[in-house]
Order: sequence, then structure tokens, then C-alpha cells
Amino acid sequence: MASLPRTSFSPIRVLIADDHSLFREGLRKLIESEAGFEVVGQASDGEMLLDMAREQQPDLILLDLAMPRQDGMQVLRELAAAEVPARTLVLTASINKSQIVQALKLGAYGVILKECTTQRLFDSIRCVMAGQYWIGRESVSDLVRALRSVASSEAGSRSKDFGLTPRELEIITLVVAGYSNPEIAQRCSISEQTVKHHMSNVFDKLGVSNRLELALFAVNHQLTESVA
Amino acid sequence: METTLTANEGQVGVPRARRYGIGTSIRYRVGGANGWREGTLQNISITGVLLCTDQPLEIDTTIEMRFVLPVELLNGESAAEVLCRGIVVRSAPPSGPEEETRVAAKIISSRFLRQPGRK
Repeated sequence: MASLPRTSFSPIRVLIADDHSLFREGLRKLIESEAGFEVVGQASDGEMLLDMAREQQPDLILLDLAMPRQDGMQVLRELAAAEVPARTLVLTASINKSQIVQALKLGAYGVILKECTTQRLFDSIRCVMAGQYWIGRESVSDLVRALRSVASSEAGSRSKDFGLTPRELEIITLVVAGYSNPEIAQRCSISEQTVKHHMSNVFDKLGVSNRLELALFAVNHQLTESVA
Repeated sequence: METTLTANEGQVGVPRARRYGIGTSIRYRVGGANGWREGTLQNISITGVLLCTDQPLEIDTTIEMRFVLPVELLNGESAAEVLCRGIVVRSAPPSGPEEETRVAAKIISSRFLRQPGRK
């Protein structure tokens, strides 16, 4: 767990990790121009960052994902394992939704793009140091979709172990939600007979004998399209 | 957790229904009573449930039970509540001061009740 900021009078001690020296230097000057911030070090690769984080004990790490030797995700894992108390804000040129989810899972407190404004960067750092997460307002809905997509694909990969089709997985989820066959038919825009056919296949594949057992099996084996 | 298929004691060759470890709270009431009491669902199969309660129940007592499937679904859906009717077949007193009564009940019937969505 990250430590709280020292006191309101102490500057926020920032460690910068980026493989582009010009960018690092520019960022250092930018950060130090703002009252309440202090740059305690710059690292050009993942290994250097880990050493400096242990040594300098910064409050916050601005972490680029694309770095030589150890990339940002690997660094996040190492930071968590080393129990470095700094909070990490991923500062990157580009990132996709699944990477955002992964970074947060690995302990990052936020993600901000290099194209952001200076004010937004300072806002994000203050937000993270106040104990909140920073994703960026415009990307929150994307992130929720990404989280759902990850949860769905995890359920999907588990379903493959039992040879279930996506439609069968969907029907199992609706059974767990308490839908009857006619309701499932309406919901999926298929006939009730088709629902019964799917249910019969699901029963055979999972070796269950009724709706109750199907629901219990699905919950136990995490076969539903669930929130992660 | 789920147990493997085993034979019932004294009934070699008769497969025992798979039990599912669904550690969640369960409400129950003796048939006809008004108030629901709280217990913990230890495991459940298609034929019976094992729950922990703070009071013993007489064998052959008809009870109603209800519990919500412990999973959070996508798209604002809530998992169903399972309503069961059953008959107490075994009631073991607590084995220690911190323990609870363990009650086994045979399931007579069950149905699902949809829960309001989270949307």
C-alpha cells in the first residue's frame, strides 16, 4: 500500500522513468517549475528505476510503459513485489484499454497521456497523491467497457474448458440471473425450442441435471459473464 | 468447493449428488412461521443442503430457505435468489462453544426468483 503524502508543506517527490533523455529533462524542468513538486531522480530504463525507487523512496513515479530492459508493466510487477511505497502514474504516448486494465491491476494509480496539458499532468499527480485514481474523464467509460470485456473473455476462456459456445455461455448467465426459458428466448431473439435445445446441450456438456445444478455449477466454475 | 462423485455410505454403487460449496448467507424459516432466520449455507446439491444455524431444528421439520447466488453479473443483471422447500433430515448440535448447529435438509422443490437489476 502506498504511503500518504508526507505533509502539506513537503513537496511531492517525483521520480521520472522514460527512455528519451530530452523528454525526461523537459519534464523535470516542467515539474520543478511548479510549487510543491520536486524531482528526485530520472531513470532511463526499468532496472535503473527500480534501484532509484528503492534508494530515493519517492512519493510518486511517472512511468513510461515502453522502456528498454524492463518495460513498464514488468516494472509495475517488480515495484509491487518490492513493496516500494511510491504511487505510480503511467505517463505514456499511447495505451490501449487492456493495457490500462492491466496497469491498474498491477498497482498503478492512474494513466495519463503524454499529449495532455501541463495543468492536467499536475492535476493527475495531485489527485493520485490524494489517494484517488486518475484515468482521465474521457476514458472512464472506455475503461468500464474494457473491464467488462476482460471479465467476459475470462469467462469465455473458462467456458472453452467445457466446450461451451458463446451462446451457451450467454444462456447460462441468464439462467443464473433467474430468467425462464421463455424469457431467455425473448431476450436472445430465438425460439423457446432453441433455448431448450441449448439447455439440453449445456446439461450434457457440464454433466448437470437441472437448472439449479446448472446455476450452482456455473457459480462454482465462474462460467457466468461476471464483473471481475 | 465441489466434491467428486462418491457412493453413499451403505449404498455402494449409488452415486451421490455433486455438492457445491457455496459459502453464502441463507435465510430460512420453519414452514408457516413469519420470521426468517439467518444461517450460513455450507454446501448444496440438487438433493440437499447443509447449513449452519444458531438453533437446532427438529428432524422432519419442513423449512423454507432462500439465498442469492453469490456472483455479480454483467450488464446490470443481478444473480437470482434461489427459493427452496425442504425437510430437515439431520441436525447436529454444536461441537464447541464457537460452533453452530449443522442442519442437513433434503430439498423437495426449488425455484429461482429474479432480483432487481443494478442498472
